Amino acid sequence: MHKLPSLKRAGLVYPILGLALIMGLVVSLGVGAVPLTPGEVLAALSGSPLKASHQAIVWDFRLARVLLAGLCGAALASAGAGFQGLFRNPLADPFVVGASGGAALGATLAIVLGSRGPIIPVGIAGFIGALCAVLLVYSLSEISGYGSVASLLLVGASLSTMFSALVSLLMMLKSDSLHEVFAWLLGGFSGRSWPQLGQALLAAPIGMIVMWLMARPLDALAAGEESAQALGLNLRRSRLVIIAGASLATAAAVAAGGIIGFVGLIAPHLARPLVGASHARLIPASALIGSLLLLFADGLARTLAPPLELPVGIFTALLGGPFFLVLLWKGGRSR
Amino acid sequence: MTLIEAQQLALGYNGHTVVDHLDLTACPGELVGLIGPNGAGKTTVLRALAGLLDPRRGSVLLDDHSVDALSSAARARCIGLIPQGETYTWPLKVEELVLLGRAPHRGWLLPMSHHDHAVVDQAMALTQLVELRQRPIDKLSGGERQRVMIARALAQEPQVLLLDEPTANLDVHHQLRLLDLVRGLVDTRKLTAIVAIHDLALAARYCDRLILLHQKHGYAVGKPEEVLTPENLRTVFDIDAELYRDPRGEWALCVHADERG
Repeated sequence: MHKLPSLKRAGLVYPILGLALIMGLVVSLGVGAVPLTPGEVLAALSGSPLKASHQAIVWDFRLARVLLAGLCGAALASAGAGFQGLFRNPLADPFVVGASGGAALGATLAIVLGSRGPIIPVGIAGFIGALCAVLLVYSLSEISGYGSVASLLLVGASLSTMFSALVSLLMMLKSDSLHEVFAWLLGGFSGRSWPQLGQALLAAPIGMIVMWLMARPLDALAAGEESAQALGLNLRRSRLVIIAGASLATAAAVAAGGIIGFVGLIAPHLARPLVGASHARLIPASALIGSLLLLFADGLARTLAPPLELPVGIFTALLGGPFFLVLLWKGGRSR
Repeated sequence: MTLIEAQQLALGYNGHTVVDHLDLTACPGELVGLIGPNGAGKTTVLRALAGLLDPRRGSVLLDDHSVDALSSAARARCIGLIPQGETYTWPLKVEELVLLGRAPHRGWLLPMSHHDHAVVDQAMALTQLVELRQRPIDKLSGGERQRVMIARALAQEPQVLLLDEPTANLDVHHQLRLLDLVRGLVDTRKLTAIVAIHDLALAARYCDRLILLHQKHGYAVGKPEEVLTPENLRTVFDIDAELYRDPRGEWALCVHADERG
């Protein structure tokens, strides 16, 4: 797990990750029904395309979607790092306090109720559902009197289960919407373009910046709540800010791409061996890695079974699961 | 001259009283030991002194000012608490952990200054951690971890140091080294220190005064030989034991195993 000490010391991790991300974006822009070489992509981006159609393919069809996938990966990864720090739990992910259940319920309601004509965009309904669910989980855990992270986890788990039961119920009752709901639940960026990117840019960066600003409190929490309090940290307030920031980033990603699992769980685990556990470095590194992961998964989703687009959530889980096991195995051996 | 004082303190959780009518003082340059059987409330008292637990009655005073009136940051600039058995979820590095001790001065957002780093360097030098500064905490021994927590508390530049069972889980050598360190800090920097400690012989050897907790009260207060009398040891710990001077003139505890009970 500590294979790259020289890299670490040279401070090269961020430039390398940044370069990889730029290369990933260029490759990703070339992938699709009409394959483009990196040179053609760069020419189209710089406004001097070799063919006029390249300009349209890159700018109108692919650029917004690819940027959106990268942004969502970064948002989910930052939220994942924040929640893992807050809950002191390596298994925490962006959906740990009910954001996924709430988003699914909101989006399903929008699809089912809007079957005769859209009432509200599905993504926006997912965004609202996610934030309402987190707010409900937070309030219930405060009312329960404990106000501890354990009660947050428990309330989050029980409400998530209830929400997914309601989603299943709605899917059974309105089976004509089944396919649409199912596709949304699996997550993906099919058909997303500039408007969705604009919406995501309104919320995701705020959540990510809040998360990064909470790096020092998250470090203090790593030593335990008692120690953090002894250092003068206001536990209640910082918990609220961390949950709000992470949930805003998560909800923005969910609104844009549906419920995409595993990215937020894995990215921080990949980042820790590279930059260490301190959150001021962990959160930006996780964001870069999350971006890369989701770009890669989205590229696969677009190309593996053309002309069909597969849900990106399938790939993040298919790739992420084994990857996570390898990480656990290596971590276990090095101990 | 910072003096920490508790007057008629009553403490508890959820309707259950742990300590009642407790009076306590500790002066600069003084190391006070908090002793008593399991469950006597040593940790609870330290938490209240650190301002992490609101007293039911009575108050904690720092130089005649109530700790309640201080903001949490101001409190952390005066009092450094070293909790027992800290566990770390993530392998933060020694220096990163000690730097957290500057948060009460620098706040939670602003970058650390040169002065902060200088204070942290000094704290790590005092606790012999300079060579380990880049080491992740999960690669340290129990004694080294305990020193990291002390260094972090020193970086807070407190006048009062509260330590909860700092020698628990350490071998005899590291127990002595750690208490030497604490004793040295108290003597040279005129810190006020209160240490909750299980080992009565170590308590007698290192502390200026002892406070014996028993049945929710301060059962005995005073110099080691005044507190650890055979009568008190029998009443509180249910053992037949006595304090005596060993050949080098240090306090030692003789426990008569056969006549126990």
